[in-house]
This record gives sequence, structure tokens and C-alpha cells, in this order.
Amino acid sequence: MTRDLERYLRPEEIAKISRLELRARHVVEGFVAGLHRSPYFGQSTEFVQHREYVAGDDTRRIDWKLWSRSDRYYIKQYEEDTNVRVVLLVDGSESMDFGTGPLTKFDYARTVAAALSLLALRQNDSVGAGLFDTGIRTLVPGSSRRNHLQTIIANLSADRTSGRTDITAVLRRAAEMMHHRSIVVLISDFLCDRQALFRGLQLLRQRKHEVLLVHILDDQELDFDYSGTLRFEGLEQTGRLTCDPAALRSGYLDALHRYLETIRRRCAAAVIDYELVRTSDHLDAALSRFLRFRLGMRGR
Amino acid sequence: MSWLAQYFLHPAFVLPGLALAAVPILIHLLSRLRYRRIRFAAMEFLLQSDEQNRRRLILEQLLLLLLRVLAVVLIVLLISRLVIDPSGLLLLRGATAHHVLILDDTLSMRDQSGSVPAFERAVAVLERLLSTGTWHPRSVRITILTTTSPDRPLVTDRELDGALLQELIPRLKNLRCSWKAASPVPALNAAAGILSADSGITPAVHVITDLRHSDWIDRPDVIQALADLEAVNAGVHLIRVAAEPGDNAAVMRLHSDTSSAAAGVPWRLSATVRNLSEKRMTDLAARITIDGQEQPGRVRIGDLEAGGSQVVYHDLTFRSPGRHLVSLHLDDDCLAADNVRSLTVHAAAERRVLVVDDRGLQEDAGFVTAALSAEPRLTGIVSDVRTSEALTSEPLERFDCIYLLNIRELPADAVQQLIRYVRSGGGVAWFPDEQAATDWYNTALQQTDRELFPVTLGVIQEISVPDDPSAEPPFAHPVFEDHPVFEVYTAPDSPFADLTRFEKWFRPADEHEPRPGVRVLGRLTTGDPLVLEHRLGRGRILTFLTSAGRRWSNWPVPPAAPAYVVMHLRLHAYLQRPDDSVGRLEIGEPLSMQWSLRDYTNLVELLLPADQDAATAEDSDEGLVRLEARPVPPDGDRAADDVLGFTTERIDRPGLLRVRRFTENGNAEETWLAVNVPVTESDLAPADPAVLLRSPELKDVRVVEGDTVSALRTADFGRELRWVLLGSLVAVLICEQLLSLRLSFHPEGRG
Repeated sequence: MTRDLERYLRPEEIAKISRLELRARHVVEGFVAGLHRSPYFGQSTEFVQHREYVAGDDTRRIDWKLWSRSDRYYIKQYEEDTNVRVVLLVDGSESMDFGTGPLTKFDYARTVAAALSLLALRQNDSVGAGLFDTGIRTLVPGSSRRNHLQTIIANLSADRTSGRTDITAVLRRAAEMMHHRSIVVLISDFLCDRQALFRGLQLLRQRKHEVLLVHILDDQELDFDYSGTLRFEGLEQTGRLTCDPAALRSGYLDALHRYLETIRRRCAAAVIDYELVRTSDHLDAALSRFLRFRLGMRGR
Repeated sequence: MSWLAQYFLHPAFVLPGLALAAVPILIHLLSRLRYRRIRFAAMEFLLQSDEQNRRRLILEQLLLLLLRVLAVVLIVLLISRLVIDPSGLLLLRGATAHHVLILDDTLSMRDQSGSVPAFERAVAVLERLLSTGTWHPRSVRITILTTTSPDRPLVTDRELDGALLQELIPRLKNLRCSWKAASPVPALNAAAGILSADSGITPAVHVITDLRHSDWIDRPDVIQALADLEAVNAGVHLIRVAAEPGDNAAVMRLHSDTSSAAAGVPWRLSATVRNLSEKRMTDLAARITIDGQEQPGRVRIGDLEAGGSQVVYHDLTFRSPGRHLVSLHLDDDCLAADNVRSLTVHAAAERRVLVVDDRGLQEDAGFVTAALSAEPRLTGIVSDVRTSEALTSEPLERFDCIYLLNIRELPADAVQQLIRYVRSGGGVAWFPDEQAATDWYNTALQQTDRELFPVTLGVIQEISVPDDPSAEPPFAHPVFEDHPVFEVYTAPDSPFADLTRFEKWFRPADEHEPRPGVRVLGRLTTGDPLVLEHRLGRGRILTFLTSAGRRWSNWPVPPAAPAYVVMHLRLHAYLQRPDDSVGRLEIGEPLSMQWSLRDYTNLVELLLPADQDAATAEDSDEGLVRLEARPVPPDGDRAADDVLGFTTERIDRPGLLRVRRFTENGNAEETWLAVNVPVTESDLAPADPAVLLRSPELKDVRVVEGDTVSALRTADFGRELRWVLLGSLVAVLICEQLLSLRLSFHPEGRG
């Protein structure tokens, strides 16, 4: 069962499922089923459901009555109180339209956003989501209702990528809109002005928001494994270049790694969680990062 | 295009090949035009990389392009067989190449098997080489030698430029092929000597030759000479100019068994003709000329197998006394020079022999005279029978030879005359009898260095008569060695030795040990020596230890008489003064003559044979050469200034050579010699280059055809160059691969 689910977690499999919601559910269900223990279902007064006991579960939560009837071990699951607001901001600029695998960065980002939304809604968190490029194009206000997922997914699915990224305006606008302490999940390739990015992130941190950066890059952007004579035409009008990419690979990777290192270092300095994700990676990396972040929030 | 020929063995490949060098450039340009479009997000990093690496990339790509072009060029050079061009290469170093050109001008180069004689082809090749050498002025030095005269170069270490070429062309046009035979070794050694003394140059030797088998194959001295050239780092080109040889027959020998000739007396000529071609020759015939006048009838030779030879005989009669040039001519073939062979004959009105007999009745002299000149019209010999007083009263040089019969003792002046006569070439035959003063024979005639008598006379040995009158006395019979005088006895089945009986003879006191220089030509069946031969100066002395008459043997009477006659005729021919015998000389042999100061002055004139290559009679300078004879170093008891002589090697063309000497009163006397071409040049069979080059000592020797040679080149001593090119190509390809890998044009496995 677990193997099947892992198979479905592969992006190329997921791509076969056209609808974003389905993709998100596959990701989340598979992710959840693959965990040995459910770390995020806390104790509450409101019973939600039974679940078959798995090794690692707290034995105190075994429903012995049900065991006496069925001779099988089930544990009780309870709904926790909503006390976190999650805002997912997905980069919808033109640079996100790049992808050499089955998914473009934008597809991947939306899938991550949808999965995180589903995951958060299951935690009864309030989830809001929006797309941005030069500004926040659309924003779904936060809500913890179960059917809020469809609203978010509809919002993420509706728009195609366009325009350039004006991260300063986006983050400033997001900071203005969020009056409560929130978790801001920024899903983007961050191919934008670095200084503007960090100014915006600093603004969010000043407003006491927790920030998680999910940095999505395509395999070719990370490996640059091109050969032959190619003409590169920049998305978002960033220029064009005819070259032998193999000859430039080393320099490219050096520049890229310097850039990634800068982001990582600046995020660490600003106490911002940062996760670099390849579009060919399993989505559980992003989800587990989110969960760790979410659990960290509970402890704060 | 032709200038490429001096650099490449296959110049036709060069230009198309070099055009291929543009292919890497075209591929590079086309690859820049043909590209895929990629829409890319992270352009800022790509542009950064491009900005940082642009200069390096351009340089690396240019270097890669250069390496690829260089690889193509190197391949083209290999295929086109680039040869070392010392003029070009060394010009860069400010040095020059020294080419020694050896022109084979031996007789065999007169071969006309092709459309033109081989020598003309050789000169044409030489001209072509020289004219191409002027393309690089101040970079080529030349020395031109000929095979026959390597010590007299046509040009010695001159810089080859237009001026020198203009100077040389007329000289080459007038150059004539020699009539001489010569090994290539002296010329090769001369070239090695010249080049070894010239350090700091690239040496090369070009031998323009017909490359005959007999000159080049199975000749260790030739291999050594070529190896010596390699030792001075000289590459050797053997440029073959001869065509496939055609039919060639040659007169290998022309002589007469009867060397004395007299006018009106039949004289037998023998000639050896050889077929030197690889095919059978049929119905060969020759014609005879005397003094240029063709004689009636032809000498039939018949068929000759390949490599076979035939001896033919022909009887001639000289109508007038005097000197005559006799020539035998074969019909023309590819090498005309060896179709003629000549000799000169001094046909005397009569041949005179002095027969000295000191016995009263001179009976023995009668037998000798009867043998030599019973019929002077048949033998041409006139015998002058005298006593020993004639030895001082007569000029002995008039006589072909002198018979000394029954001499008791001679006065000292007669002995001196005899010694002088023999030293100058005269022949003497001794026939002593019982009146010989043994002491005088054993002392006066046997002084050191002037021995007229070769043996110490002992006692007279006599066959004892048996008591029984009916019994045959135990006569002694002669046993002769193989010798021209005694061929009549040694011929197979000859009965004459057994028919000749000796009753008396001198037994020498030192019979068992002949003195040095003395040869025993015949012995008796008793073991005692009978005939001895020794030389004194230029003359021969035959000593018979018995008398010439019938008192001691039955030699002059039947049944032994026929052999006695023949033996004396042969003896006369054998003892004859060499100046009066058949005269001939082969080109290449030095001409050497000596004479008494009393006979001729020291002035000598040589009238050289006419130049047969001259176009007109006016050009045909007979070539009068004046020489000054010098005293011949003392020999024995002769005074230092007694004899004059000269030696010359200036006889270099066939025909009639006349040597003119002058007496004190100004009279000129001529000696004629027929000058013939050397027979060693007649075999035109070509050498197999593979056999020649099989020798492990030879690494930088190449054989090329004259038709294909068009430029002075030191290759293809180019083995080293080929390896250099090959090594360079490998290095370039390795560098190209490494650079390609560095530029990541080759996909590498990335995990």
C-alpha cells in the first residue's frame, strides 16, 4: 500500500491527474498514510474518527471498547482547536512557467499550495491563498471550513502565469492585509530582486508573521545539463543568449549556488524557514517541512 | 602547382587537402547558426556566467578550432607525403641545404634503349633539379660531380641561384657522356668527404644513374659508401634514368694468336662476341675494317643465346707493311659503343730474328732458321744467322728476338748489349751445348739484378747406349707445362712429346730449387729441368738446357720435327718485343711507355683518338697532347738517367692513339695503339632497387624514377618527418580531445 502511494507521489504520476484538488488529495493522503505516526493530530474533546493502531501510536489512545467488540486495535482521533492562520502565496509570474519535467514550476507550486491547504484545513487551521506576480493578483481570504479547499484550488487553477515579479509590492501588500499573526508560506522560484525580497520578508517578520519559503526550481535550473548550441530566451524579458551551455555550465552553477547560499544565509539570519524543492522531488519534502514548521508553531 | 612538387611526393593531394582544412571552420560557423531555442527562467545566472567566461571561451574555442584545422592539415601533409625541404626549413634558421649531385657519365649511359640516350635523360633531370632549386635563393648549395671524374667537380659548393643556373645550362648542354667504366664508389666517397667537411647543413646526395646491376648489386664497397653517406646524415636519392634495356651484343675481346704480322702474310684474328641481352639473338654478323677501309665479306657469328658468347676467327692479309688499325664492327644495337673493338698491328715488310750460332758449321742455326723462315711468304720471318760478334756490331732493336745457340762465352760489351736489349723488351732463347764455358755462364751471366741465365749449369747428362745394339736406349722425353710456346705438346692426344727424344742435356747444379722468378716450363722424364723462363726488365728469356740441333736430340728431325717448327714459331711470337706486337689499350688503363735516352728525346706527342661525338669534322679535334717524359727511377745496374718514361690516364675515348717520339736528329717515330671501350659497361641489366635497399645498413637511401623527380629534395629521407607528422597529429588530436572535454563538448556521465 505504501509503495503504491509513493508511486503516486511521483510528479509524473501526479501530472496524469488533471485536477489540482485530486493531486493535492493524493499528495496529502499518501503522505499521511506513509507516516508511522500521526504527529499532528492532537488531543481534543471533539472526537473525529477511529483509526487502526499502528506501531508507535500512543497506547493510551487505544479504544478498548472497540477492541472488545472487534478484537482489533483502534485508536481515537480528536479534532484540535484552530489557532493558526496560514497564508499561502504562490508565484504566478512568467518565470514560473518553466519546466522540463511533467510539471512546470507553477504546476508544482500550485500542487504544493493545494496540498498544504488541505493539510492545514485538516488541522482546522485557517487557510488563505493567493497568486502574485507584479502584485497580488487574487487572494482567497482565510477560512478553516472544510469546503474552503475547493475555493482555494479554484483560485489557484484559474490563473495562468504572466508578468514579472515585484516581490516588494507583493509582500508589502500581504503584510498590510494580514492583521493577525499568521504563517506565510511563500512558494516561488524567487527569480527576482534579492534586496526587494528580503526587504519584504523583513517586513513580514516585523509584523510577527512566521514565514516559510518554499523555493521551487526545475532540475535544469539546478543542474543546467544542456548540450549543443542553444539560444536561451529569458522569461520575463530577462534577455537572450546564444551559447554552448556546456561551456557556461560551471559559471552558471557557481552563480546559482552563490544565489542559493545567499538566500539560505539571509533566511537563517531573519529566522525564516527555507526549503529548496526540485520539481522532480517528491512533494513530501515540502509537506514535511511544513509540518515541522507547524509543530514548531505549536510549541511557540 | 609545380612548385609544390619540391615539397610533396603527392602534390596533387595538397590543395584539395588544404581546402578540407576549412571544414572545421565551416562546421563551427554552421553550428553557430543552427541552434535550438530554449525559454529559460534563470537567465541572470547564465548571463553572469557568460560575462565572466566570454573571453576565455572565445580563446578556448579558437584554440580548439585551430587544433582541428591543424589536425586536418597534418593529415593532408601525411597523405601528400611532405618531404623535408631543407631550403625552406633551414631558411628559417639561416642555414642552407647542400645537395651533391652525381651525374653518372659512364659508358653504359650511352644506352639508347629509350627514345633518347640515358645520358641525355640524366642531363635533363639534372637541369630540372637545378632550375627548381633556384626557387629558394640563398638556401641551396650544390656540388656537381661526375662518376668518372669525381675529383674534378663541375661545380664545387656554389650557392644555387639564377646566375649559376645561367652559367651551368650551356655547360650541361655541352656535357658529353664519357667512354669510361667507373664504379659509383669513388664519387659517393667524394660526396661523403665534401659533406662531412660541411657542418651545420642538411646534406643530400642525388645520384642520377642508369642503376645497373653490375654497378650496384652484390657490391659491399657500394653499400659501405652509401652507409658512409648516411653516417654524415646525408639522404641519398638514386634517380634512375635508364629505360628498359634493349638488345645488346658486344665485342668482348679482339686478339690474334699470332702477334707478329708481316705484309702479305695471312694473319689470323679472333674475336669474342657476347649476347648481353635477355633474348636470343640470331644471324649475328660482323664486318672488318683495316684503317677504316671495310674488308670484303662479313664475319658470320650465327645465333647467340641470352648471355652466351662465341669466338670467331677471321684471316686478314695486310697489303702493305706498316701500322694498321684493325676493327671489328657489330651491327648497331642499343649500346653502339661496345659494338666496335680494334687493335693496331705493325705489319713489317719482314720480321727479323737474329740467330747467333758460335759453332763452326752453324748446323743448329740451320734447323732454327728452317723452322722460322723456311718460306718467308708464309711466316713473314727472316732469320739472320750470325756469330756472337753480331751482338755488338748490329743494332739489336731491329730483331724481334735473339736465339743464342752454342755460345761458349761472350765479351762483356755483348753481355751489356744483351741486357739492355732484354730490359727494353727483347726476347732471348738460350740453347747451350758442350762447348759452353760453364764457369762463365755461372758467373758473368748471373750477377744480381742482371741475370741473363737462370740456372747454375752443371754437368752434361747423357743417355748411356745399351750393350745390346738391338735394344732401344732409355731416351728421355719432354714433359711440358701449359704454356703458349708448348701448346703443340700439351694439346690433347698430342704425340709429339713421346716422339721427341733427348740423349744429352745439361743437369743444373741447383736443379731441385728453381730460383725466385724462374719458372720451369718443361722437364724430361728423368725429372731434370729442360726449359726455364725468367724475366729481365720487360723482356723474356727462355733457357733450353739442350742444343737446338739434332746432336743431342731428335727434335728437329722427323718424327718430332713438326712440333719443333710450331714450337719455334710460337717461341718467336712469345719472345717478340712488345712494341712490335699487337697494340691495344682499354679506356681507363693508364698508358705507360719507357725508352732509352739514347733512342728518343723526352718530348712526347699523343695524338688522341678523334672525338666521335663531335657534330662536324671541324669540331673533331684529334687532340694533340704534348708530354714531357721523365727519367725513370734506377732499376738494377741501369743508371738513373738511362731510361725515360711517362704514364698518362688522359686517354678517354676510343679509336686510334698515336704516340709520337723524337730521335736526337729530330725524326719522329710513331707507336699506334687501339683504344677500346671497357667491356664491363656492356651489361645493361638494371639493378633491382628492392635488393639494393634490402641491406640493413641503408635507411636513408631511396630509389626514384627520373621521370617523377622534379625538384631538389632531401626526402624522402622523410621517414623521420613522417614520424614527426604522425607524432604531431597524435599530439594535436590528444590536445583537441582534452580541450573538448574541458569545454564539455563531449557529454560525460553525470550521476
